[in-house]
Amino acid sequence: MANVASSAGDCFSRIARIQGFFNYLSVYNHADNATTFPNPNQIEEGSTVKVPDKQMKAFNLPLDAEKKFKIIRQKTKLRIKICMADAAQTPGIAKARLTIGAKKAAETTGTLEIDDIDPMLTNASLTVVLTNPPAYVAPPPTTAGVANQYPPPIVAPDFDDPKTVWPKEGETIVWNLQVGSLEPHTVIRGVLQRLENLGFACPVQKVEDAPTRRAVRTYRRFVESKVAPNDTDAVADIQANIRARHDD
Amino acid sequence: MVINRTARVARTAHDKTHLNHLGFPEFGVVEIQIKGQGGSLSKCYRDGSSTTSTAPATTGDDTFHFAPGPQYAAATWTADPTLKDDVQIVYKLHNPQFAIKEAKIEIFPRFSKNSVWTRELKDDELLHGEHTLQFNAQDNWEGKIDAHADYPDQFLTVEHSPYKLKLTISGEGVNTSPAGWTYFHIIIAKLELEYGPKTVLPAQAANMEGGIHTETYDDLIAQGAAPPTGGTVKVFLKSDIFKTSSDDMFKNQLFTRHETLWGDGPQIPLFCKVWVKSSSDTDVVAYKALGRLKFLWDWESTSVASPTGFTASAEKYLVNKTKPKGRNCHDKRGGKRASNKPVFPAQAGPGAATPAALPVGSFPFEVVAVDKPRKWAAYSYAWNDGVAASKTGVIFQPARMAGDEYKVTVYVNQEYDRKKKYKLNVDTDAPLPSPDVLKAVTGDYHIWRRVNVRKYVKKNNSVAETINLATVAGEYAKAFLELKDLTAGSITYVAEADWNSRVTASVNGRSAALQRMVTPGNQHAKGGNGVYLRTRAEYRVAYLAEGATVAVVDAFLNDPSNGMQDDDHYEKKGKTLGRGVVSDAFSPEADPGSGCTIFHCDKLISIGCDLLGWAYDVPGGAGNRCGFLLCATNADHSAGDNIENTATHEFGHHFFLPHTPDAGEKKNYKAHDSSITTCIMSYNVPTEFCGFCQLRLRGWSKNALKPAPSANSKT
Repeated sequence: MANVASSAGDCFSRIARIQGFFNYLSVYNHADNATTFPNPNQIEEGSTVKVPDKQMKAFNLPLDAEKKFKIIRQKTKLRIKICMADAAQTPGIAKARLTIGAKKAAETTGTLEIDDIDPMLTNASLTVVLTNPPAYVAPPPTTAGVANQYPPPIVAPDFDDPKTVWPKEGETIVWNLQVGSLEPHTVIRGVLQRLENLGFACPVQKVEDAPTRRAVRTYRRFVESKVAPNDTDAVADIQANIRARHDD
Repeated sequence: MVINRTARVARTAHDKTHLNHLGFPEFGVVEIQIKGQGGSLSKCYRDGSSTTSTAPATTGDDTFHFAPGPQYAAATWTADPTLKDDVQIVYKLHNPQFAIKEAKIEIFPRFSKNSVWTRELKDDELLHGEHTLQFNAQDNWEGKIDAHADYPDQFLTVEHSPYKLKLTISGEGVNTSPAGWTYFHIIIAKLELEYGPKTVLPAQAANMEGGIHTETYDDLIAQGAAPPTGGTVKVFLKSDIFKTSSDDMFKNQLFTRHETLWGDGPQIPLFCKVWVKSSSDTDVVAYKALGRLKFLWDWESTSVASPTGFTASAEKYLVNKTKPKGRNCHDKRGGKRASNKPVFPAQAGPGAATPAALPVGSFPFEVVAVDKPRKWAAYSYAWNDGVAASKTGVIFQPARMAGDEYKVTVYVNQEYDRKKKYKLNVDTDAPLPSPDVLKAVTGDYHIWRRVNVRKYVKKNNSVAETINLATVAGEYAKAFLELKDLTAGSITYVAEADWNSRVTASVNGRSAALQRMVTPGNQHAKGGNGVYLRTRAEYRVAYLAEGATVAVVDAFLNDPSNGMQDDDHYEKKGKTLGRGVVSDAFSPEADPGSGCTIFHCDKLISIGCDLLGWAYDVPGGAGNRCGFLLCATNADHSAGDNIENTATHEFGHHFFLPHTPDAGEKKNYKAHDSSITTCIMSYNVPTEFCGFCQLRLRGWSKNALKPAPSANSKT
């Protein structure tokens, strides 16, 4: 048995491939890997994965007979769900394309899946063009006045402050996907990575500081509707919630 | 625009189903509002195309208002730190991922691209959800803004209301609602007029009688501590100006002397207290919230047309052509209608810093003339600190012309258009279209002249009849001249010794021939006539008794050069003598104060005389004291005539009115209505003053009037 230190982009499928296994379960189910890594696709960078020794497999075969050996290669998928800040909501999408290696997936429902990716690939890209925003509509009129009314009626055109510059086309969002780099939600970086994936302004780091706390506070205000001034705003507070929101 | 992002994603093993949810930053303004005391709330606006997962509030009102800054307690008109109308700026952001990079709240007045206050939102102020903007770690905002030339105390003011409070955001992501805003007002609650203290009136010119303006002021206060809100009050102009010689009646001295005395008119300090409406709709003294707000002072000519005749015709002079229109005395006749002499004269005001106390002898508020077209009106400004904070005012200076009537209105002159043209600065007739709370209107100020009747002197108690002064005053009241009876019904009788000694002294100073005309003995005790004289026959006897021969006496009496050749000439001689002696006997009794003294005896002389009365000039009168002698009884008058008419007539002479042309002297002097012959100043049985006389008594210039009534009207 060997201990392998995981690196960025690793998951059990990738490690198994590197180690010459066709099925990640051959590695994952070994020793206490499964209990150490609840999700075989999320490994904290630098973790130690136990890789079993390859076992000789013996078969009794008759001579001069032809036998077929079928090697089952388990496929690895890449699954993306494009969402709004409220993860249950899908934005209006004009087009979306997921590319990893030579494989592509394109559609507009918000869910993109490539079901047989090379686990050795660690980079992918996702381009989403949102549908055009609604045409600009002026604000509703102010309350109409009557003669000699006081205070006088508000006449909106009397105000010369800058008018809204309204976009005419939908935004294009280009994601550089670091495949296999998502770490477990149980570690700080894993939480912060999920926050970033969900669109939050958040540094991805191993320590908690003011920016991470603000990101957590922001998440809690929006997702949990919690506004408690004495909250610690620690990433631990949202681990379970964000895992479900991001992963499920 | 392209948004570039990095995501760390997990592969999904063949036997797993987990996903990678990828979101992008989205944000927007949900709402911004102002919360006032008592639950008042401004209304939130966004562009109609703005969207956020949470819809903006639909509550609130476009009429939201509050009273910025510190306040005075109304009872003491001093600062009370416990009084304030702080509000809260509340806003809600859709910023679930904290993607807003820049956000600012700004305040814009109308017609300006530049904000007068900006607050950058930072850190936790950008968090998703509801916020109350903090000011020095407090929720409350008192309306203070950035330093700005248009806002002298750094508080928002009524002057530039309404305002737009706008929240604008930007960031990296999808901005679905770039801005939200709300409107609010700083509004006036009410205006309240009061009289300022008379100490603020400018020092009077040296050639004016001391205290006339303050006397007018005292009279006004006596009619009501505050300016009237309806009805009429009289503005009395003390006007003890009298002829000093008969020639004065044939000049325009009634006009020029009145002009010298009163110049451009009385001066009445009108103050206006200004109240601001708080967010809870109470009236407060928010003295920093006015800024350089202009108050427009306007006047109307409200004088009522005379019924008919000469005055009505003259009053109609360009009645509808002038700005403002009306029947007040026109500039061409010496008045202020259509004149460039302001009814609200310009005042320098306090300068850069308001003094601790009201100044003495100078007016506290800045006043400037309104530019075209409403150039007869004036703007004033309020103090923003000190004893007169939240107050403004003008010196109201109506014309000196009796009969003129003024209504004064002060407006909050706040509404202006994009070209900074004020909506009230138009030349249309008053009242201007303005909400009631933005103006305060006085009742009518009716100008009257006043002449004091200080003393009523009779020779002795044998003088049976007494002039009914109220009847005389009633006649002058038609010309808006008050004969103010200061006698309180008291009659002074000349002491016997005084009378006799004055008569003796007067007689002894004359020729022997004249001395001989006077009946010897106690003149006072002889009765109510002025001087008791011998008849011509008695004169002859007395002359002979002195030892002269018959030839000498008769030659003297028959010599026309002595004026005694018959009874008629003798009486005329006696009349002249009587005037001198009686005036000498009465004159020391004249009241020393300015005004009139009435002297009264039954007849001037005992031997019969057609003189009914005499407007004689009190020695040393200096034009502000006069004496009128009544020397006739009602029985001496023609049918329909009486002693009151004579009193009215003689007062008229003192007031510079000459006889009518048919009475004799200076027939070409055109100072009467040519259409009537019964003017009181005639010798005919009188009815009332002719219109020409009435207008002159009111102060109009004789030189601008013509005898024919219709010649004085012009349309």
